[in-house]
Amino acid sequence: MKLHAAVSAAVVEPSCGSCRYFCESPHEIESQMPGMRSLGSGYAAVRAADGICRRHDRYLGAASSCADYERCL
Amino acid sequence: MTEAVDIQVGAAKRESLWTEFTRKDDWWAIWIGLGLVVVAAGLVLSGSSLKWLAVAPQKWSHWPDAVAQVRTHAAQYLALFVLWATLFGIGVSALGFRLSRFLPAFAVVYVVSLGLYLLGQWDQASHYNLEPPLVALVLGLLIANTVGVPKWTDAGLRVELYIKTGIVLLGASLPLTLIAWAGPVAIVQAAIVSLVTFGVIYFTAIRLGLDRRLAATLGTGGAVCGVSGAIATAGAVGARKEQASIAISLVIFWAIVAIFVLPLLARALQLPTGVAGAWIGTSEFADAAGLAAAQAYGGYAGHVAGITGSPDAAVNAFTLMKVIGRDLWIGVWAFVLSIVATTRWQTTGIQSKPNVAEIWRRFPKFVLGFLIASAIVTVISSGYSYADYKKIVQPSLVAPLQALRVWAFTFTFLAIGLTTRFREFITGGAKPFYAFTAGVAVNLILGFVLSTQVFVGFWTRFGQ
Repeated sequence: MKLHAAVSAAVVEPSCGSCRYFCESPHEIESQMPGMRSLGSGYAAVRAADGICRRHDRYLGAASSCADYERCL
Repeated sequence: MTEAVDIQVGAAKRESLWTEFTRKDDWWAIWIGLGLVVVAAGLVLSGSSLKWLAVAPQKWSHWPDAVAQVRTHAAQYLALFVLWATLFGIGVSALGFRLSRFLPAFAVVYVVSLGLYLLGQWDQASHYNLEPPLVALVLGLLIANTVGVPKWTDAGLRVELYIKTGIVLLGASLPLTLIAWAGPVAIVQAAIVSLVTFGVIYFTAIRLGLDRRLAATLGTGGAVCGVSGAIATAGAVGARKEQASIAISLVIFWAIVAIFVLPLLARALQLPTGVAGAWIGTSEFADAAGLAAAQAYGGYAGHVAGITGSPDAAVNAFTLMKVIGRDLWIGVWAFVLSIVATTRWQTTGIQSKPNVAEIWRRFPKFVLGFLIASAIVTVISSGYSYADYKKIVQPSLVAPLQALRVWAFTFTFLAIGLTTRFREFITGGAKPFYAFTAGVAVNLILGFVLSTQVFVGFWTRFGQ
């Protein structure tokens, strides 16, 4: 158990990508941004791993971070 | 302990790579488009061809002839449906959509597309301005904004998957030597227009008191690659969700206006197809929208008096300008703007570290498929004399892939209309509209001057 906890802590960095407020789901992003499906796509490579921060209502990169980080369980 | 961490990190990286290859529509466009090119090339090299499967309606004058055509080739149309439904079905399933929802929606898209493709082959279609891309778009817009489209059809209306697959297939009809010859001109012309358009939108927005992140998102949406440009920049600079939505709405609004306006203006001015394609590639905001305009214009060649050049030249010039000249650079724009955002703009309480690897992460990967498809056909063609190329490679390899490309584009144009719901647009007030519209005006004029004056000789030769 200790090894597993240590490994998890080492791998998961406190960035938006692993935060509970961060939504990276392409389907959800397409739903929340009207018009996105029409001449774009939530599944496009240009989107990289960006997502919506439900806490700050921003669209940002998964590598961003802030003081409100809460790890996704 | 270290080993355990390495194993887990390695697994995460593998998972990430697998996710990239299977959960992005760029990669699915490559798998599907390049897969078709490779199979078609293999068949030609073994003395066979994809011709039977890549069925396409032929010219007709009277309605009974059109019906008879479809009846005669019914088995081929059915086989082609099975092929597309299988390929796209696998793709959308991997993206997370239910096959049970994709299949009925795609069946409708396919049948209506057949009707539109057939309409385009009517010998009076140009006379009545019934260009399939424009008809598909109008039909889709009418349905989506009146009776509406059920939510479950989303799985079958994947605009980007269809358009990217079509662009990869388009690579097969553009020799690599032509891309190398025209690419630098396209890059120079597109760079001039992109930088000026971005500057106009950005500084107009700032002057109007808008937030810098919104200004940058609007700027790249108008200057680089439409919705993709806006969304990539929004993520790179950490824009508010509403700001991204405003930029997307404005891009779509003006892109759809331009689909109809650009071919009409170019037609009134009787521009050669290569020149018109370059103008549309410089001044349209989205790949799918621009291809609709360029394909519609290409359809005028040989049918409308005064319009010279080959029909394919409009689409080819558009693609070089838009894909090579503009789309390719989206990662660079996003990276540079992320540096500016973190070092010069007001903080948002969110920390971001600009990373040069973002340029690759945001790279529109389908462009690789387009270039590889071009390389494959160029290499195969180089083994034939010109006479044999015309006799064997053109009808057995290039023509079937061109037919498949037109199918993919027709699915796209119909899907654009069916997914565009004007009532969902978020305008964000007059100021973003004014800023974006200022960029649209400058973009149209500058694109016109560069295509029809500065580089007119080049694009005219390109179209012949």
